Amino acid sequence: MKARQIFLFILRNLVLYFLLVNSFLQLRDQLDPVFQSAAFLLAVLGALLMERSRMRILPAVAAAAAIPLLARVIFFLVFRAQRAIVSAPATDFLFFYFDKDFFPALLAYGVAWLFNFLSLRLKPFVIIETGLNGLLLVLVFWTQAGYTLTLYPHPSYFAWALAAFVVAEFFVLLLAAGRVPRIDARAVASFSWILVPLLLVFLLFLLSRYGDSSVRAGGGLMKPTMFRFDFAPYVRLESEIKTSDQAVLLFRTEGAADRYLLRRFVLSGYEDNQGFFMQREGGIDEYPAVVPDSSERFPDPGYKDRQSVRQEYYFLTLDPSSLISLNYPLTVTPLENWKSSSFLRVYRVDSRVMRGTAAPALVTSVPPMKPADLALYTRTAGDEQIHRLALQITQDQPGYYAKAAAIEQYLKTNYLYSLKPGIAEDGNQLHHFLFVSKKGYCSYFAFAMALMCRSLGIPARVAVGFYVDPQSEVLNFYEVRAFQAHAWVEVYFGNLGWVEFDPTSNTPAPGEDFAPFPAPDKDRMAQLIAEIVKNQTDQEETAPKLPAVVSATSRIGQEIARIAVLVARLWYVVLPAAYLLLLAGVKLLPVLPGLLSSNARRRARARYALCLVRCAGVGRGRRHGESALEHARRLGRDSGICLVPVADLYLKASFAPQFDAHDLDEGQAALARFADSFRTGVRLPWRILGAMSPRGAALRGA
Amino acid sequence: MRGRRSGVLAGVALAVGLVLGAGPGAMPARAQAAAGAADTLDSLTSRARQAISRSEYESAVKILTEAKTRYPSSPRASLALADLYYDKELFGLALDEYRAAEKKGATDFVTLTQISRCYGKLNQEKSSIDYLTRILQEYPDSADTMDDLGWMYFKTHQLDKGESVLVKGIAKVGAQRGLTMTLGTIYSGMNRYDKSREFYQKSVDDALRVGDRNFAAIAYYNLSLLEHSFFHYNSALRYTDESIAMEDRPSGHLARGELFQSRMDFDSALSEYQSAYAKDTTPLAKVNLAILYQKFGRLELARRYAEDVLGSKDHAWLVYYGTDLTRHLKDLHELLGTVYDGLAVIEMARPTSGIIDRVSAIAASLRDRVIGWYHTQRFRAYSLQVGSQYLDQGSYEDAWWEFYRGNEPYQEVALKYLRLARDLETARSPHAGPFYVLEEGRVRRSSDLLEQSLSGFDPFWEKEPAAEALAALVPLLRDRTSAPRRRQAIEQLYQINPGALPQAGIGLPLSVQFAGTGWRLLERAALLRFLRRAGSEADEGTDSGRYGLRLVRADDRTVRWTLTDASGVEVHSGTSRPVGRLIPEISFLARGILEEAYSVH
Repeated sequence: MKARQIFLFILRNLVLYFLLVNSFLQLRDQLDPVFQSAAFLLAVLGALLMERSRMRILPAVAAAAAIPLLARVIFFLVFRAQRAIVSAPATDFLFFYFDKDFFPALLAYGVAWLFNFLSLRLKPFVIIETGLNGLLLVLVFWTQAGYTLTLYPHPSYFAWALAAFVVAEFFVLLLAAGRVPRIDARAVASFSWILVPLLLVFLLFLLSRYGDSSVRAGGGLMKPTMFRFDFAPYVRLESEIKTSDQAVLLFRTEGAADRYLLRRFVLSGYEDNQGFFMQREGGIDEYPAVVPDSSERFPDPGYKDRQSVRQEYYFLTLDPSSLISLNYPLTVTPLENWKSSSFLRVYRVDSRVMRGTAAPALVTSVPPMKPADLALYTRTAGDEQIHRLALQITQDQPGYYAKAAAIEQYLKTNYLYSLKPGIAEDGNQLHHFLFVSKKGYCSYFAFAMALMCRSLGIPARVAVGFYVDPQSEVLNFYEVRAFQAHAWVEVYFGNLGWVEFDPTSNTPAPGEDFAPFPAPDKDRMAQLIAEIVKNQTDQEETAPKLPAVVSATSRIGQEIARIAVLVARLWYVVLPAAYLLLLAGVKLLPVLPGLLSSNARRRARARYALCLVRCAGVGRGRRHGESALEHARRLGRDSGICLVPVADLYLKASFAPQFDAHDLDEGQAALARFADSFRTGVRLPWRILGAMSPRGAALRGA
Repeated sequence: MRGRRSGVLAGVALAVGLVLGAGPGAMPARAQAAAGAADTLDSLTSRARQAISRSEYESAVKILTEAKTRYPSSPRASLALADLYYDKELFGLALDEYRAAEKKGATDFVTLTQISRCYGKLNQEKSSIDYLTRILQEYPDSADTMDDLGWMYFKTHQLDKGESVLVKGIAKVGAQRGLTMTLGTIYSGMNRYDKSREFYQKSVDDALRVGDRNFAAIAYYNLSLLEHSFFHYNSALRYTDESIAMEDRPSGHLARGELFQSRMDFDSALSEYQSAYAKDTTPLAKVNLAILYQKFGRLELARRYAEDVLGSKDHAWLVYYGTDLTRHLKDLHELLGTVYDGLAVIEMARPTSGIIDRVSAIAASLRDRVIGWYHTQRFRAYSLQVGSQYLDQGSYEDAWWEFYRGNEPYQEVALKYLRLARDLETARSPHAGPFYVLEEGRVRRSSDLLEQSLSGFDPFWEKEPAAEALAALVPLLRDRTSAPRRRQAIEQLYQINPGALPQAGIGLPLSVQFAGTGWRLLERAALLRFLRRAGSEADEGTDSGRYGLRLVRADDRTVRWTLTDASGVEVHSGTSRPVGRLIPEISFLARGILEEAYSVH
């Protein structure tokens, strides 16, 4: 073997071993790395020996299969002999411990043998192998998504390992380039421009999944860190949740003690497999979910039959940026938090709130709504069973409000409250709730009502936040604790706005001993109230109103941030699109003025440059010092690409004293011949890769 | 407006101040933090406590961390921080702080006890024992420490040491109910029935004497477990009832559910497990539900429950139960191995609607086989690990049993340990004999031994092992001469537990009758093929010795089917949607029949 081949052989096997080690890491409690490594080594040596002895493929496969089986028989004979000499647990267990590693090792053995044998026997296989290795890499790391990156102590190690893998594969391709017909180092270099972005996209996808389900640990509604809380921007139906009585916030509102639904998010988006989630774009009254830095007034939709309510919020353990308010907030004003305050954040919200149901009860038909909004708020997964149940519940209800109220009442009276709704046999937790267990926590009720309303064409969405009981009021202050986290439904009533429905049952499921709303700790509340009262004179707005120009700048900044968030969220579309756009730009822009020029000479030169770009993309570009004709002849000789007539035209356009539109027209035939020969001379995958490669960019043809 | 409200609030402040005695002591935590360098250790810890009382945990942590920095030689800040973490069930962090306090000289009873508890919560029993031993040396009259140490010895299978500590403790401080109950548990682990019963009874009597119903409920529950493990089912049920009557605890329902499960009474067992689940703060109810669902063929539900428990990383609950993490994981992997093996069999036997569906079923079956194999291997590895722990502590009977389970595929080795375990257990409890015969029959694949075991089981209380024996027996009765017994065994199994059949690849022997309009030959053949694939000995015609399946197709092409037993009594029936096109529709019909016929509701 030449040194280059030996190096290629070692590098290839290092890559394979890297994949094997990462597979082991998945089962590191179960498998013995020495055993697995030995199997790998046996496979590599076996493949090498079989290739060196020029065995035919079928006998080689048979021999490769026989080796491990034979090894097992021999080992078992040895174990039996050991047992005959010393019969103790240690010798008795040898059979099990051998088999425990043996069967998984067969997979590693098989892959290592096959890849080595094929790459030694069939030289182009090395190229295929790199692709297969990429596939194996994806398979190995697939389970590591979803907040479970456990193979490495830190994601950065994973990034380094991935980078090492990419570099090694790149060198494998470079080393293999000379061995495979029609693939040279330039082509490999082109290929790397595709490989690297693809792997980056995969990495981003993996990291995105890594963070995706972090909220699941919080029981489906709240997202706890060590001591703080916030809501998740989506809700899943869990089989069991736990509650905590940790104080979250205090709020003050004047007037008689009342029941409040403090809203954190509205969840308008719905996907069957995701549940309800926060819709980032579009919709009606989908206001920001973050407390602004200075006083901010939201657009007033002018809903009728509403009263003004002013509330001041004092956050204890809720994430300070979270905006909590009533439905519908008009102005949010951050207040100066006093020195050494017990509170993380203080702000005031002025809202327009609906009290009572008299006005909505008069609404009898679906209020007008833009088609796009109607589609959003009536989206369901088309579940027939839920639709039938909704029809059955509302069959005697003639009005719009009456239908929604009937569904609310039906759920409230026929279902039970439970923190342990149980696991659905088919994985459909909502069906399990509606048709089997008939018990669940607030999210189940909200999901069920929202989907039933939607199935009847009634626009509805899920809201999450806190339920506040009038009994928790002390001197106009209300204490809110984590167990009050709640989900309910908002139904659209046109010029009355979104009206709240709370279908959650107050009847606990049998055997579940919990008090849904235990009384507040008044002593603790009193201390906090005393602190607020003592410091109330310090409560001023956080910042004076900014000059208009600064506000405009701020708005531009917010807009940029919003776009950035959108781009980050849709990275899987945006990144490839940006890459392709950039590529098209750098490849076409330099020749575009020539192509559009009225000057025949310039147009001919631009056309030649375009041909060069295409050739360069597939690794058939002009070498240093090579003339246009030499290059064109080499292409014709090596690849069958007919560039000579186009090059002739280019030379004529550049140097002939006479060149006009007639010459240019004649050149059309040359271009057509080039295009035909390019199609036949370069295979489709390479043409696609060539088009996506940045090689050949910025060529002007001169 | 603002001025008016200020006046109102000023009045409130006074009222609140009067109620609370608000003065410097009631100053908010962050306000006091501003006092800065003038703070003493006392004032810092006091402020931290106030912050904690107001749920201002971050603030409290900051203050205590500052206190630790300012007063590095004092353990008080570490102790306060450790208490906060412990209350919030952050046991790892709590342990670090307690250990830091210990290094700074906090070696009092409470600190050392908290350290031992943290180790216990983190399932580091050995370290917990080290601390408890140390505490007992320094505080030899502490009954709680003796109790905790005895319990930890039980959890780590060091039964002799546990007995010694508790016997000495009772001699020293008297027969306190905590000590007698733990001693009863130790004797139960030693399989000393009379001693165990005596001490459990003492703890019950003591609890009843002082009216401690919670304690009495736990003691009765333990007594019930003892009686169950010695096959005294009626006594076990009686004590379980007593336990629940004393206090409605989840473990009482679990114990009663297990007794019903042993009788193969699905509905009663399910009801008990669900009652336990509603109250349970541990995953034990979910594990029992998963086992019940697996036994009765609802494998997908069993899988979901078991994987839910396996996915949980919170194992602090184990400290109060007579098991440890290894045994807990062993049980879960065993269950999941069985579930996936069953799923693989069912998937392979599933009626399919075409080639693609068939390929997909085979692929799913292979996937389930591999996952099942993985779980079974893990179960075996854990069995050997647990067995080795038992062996180290001299609990030979349990050790041999675990070694047997870990080596089941290797007949020679498995039988060696099975016999060793059998000799020990049957010497003290002869009724265990048929269970060992069942195991030996399974390992040897001997129909004679399995038949022998069947004759030894209690027909009322031991239907669960009887069903296992029948499920193992049926595949061994292949030859022509065994056909009548095979049919009989399948029918027996079906009567005990229909859900056991599909997961074992067994189907009812069926005589199939087609009636009504338009049954084509291909349709009839396809249905018979699907039934045979599901393990049924299915033939067209009327055989009075078999279960009968009668299918009547109406003019609207709906099919009404009826399953009758050998005596002609209807067992199940149903109506399928209109059956029209060949294979997909017949496959749908067959699937509906199989699901309904083997279902347990």
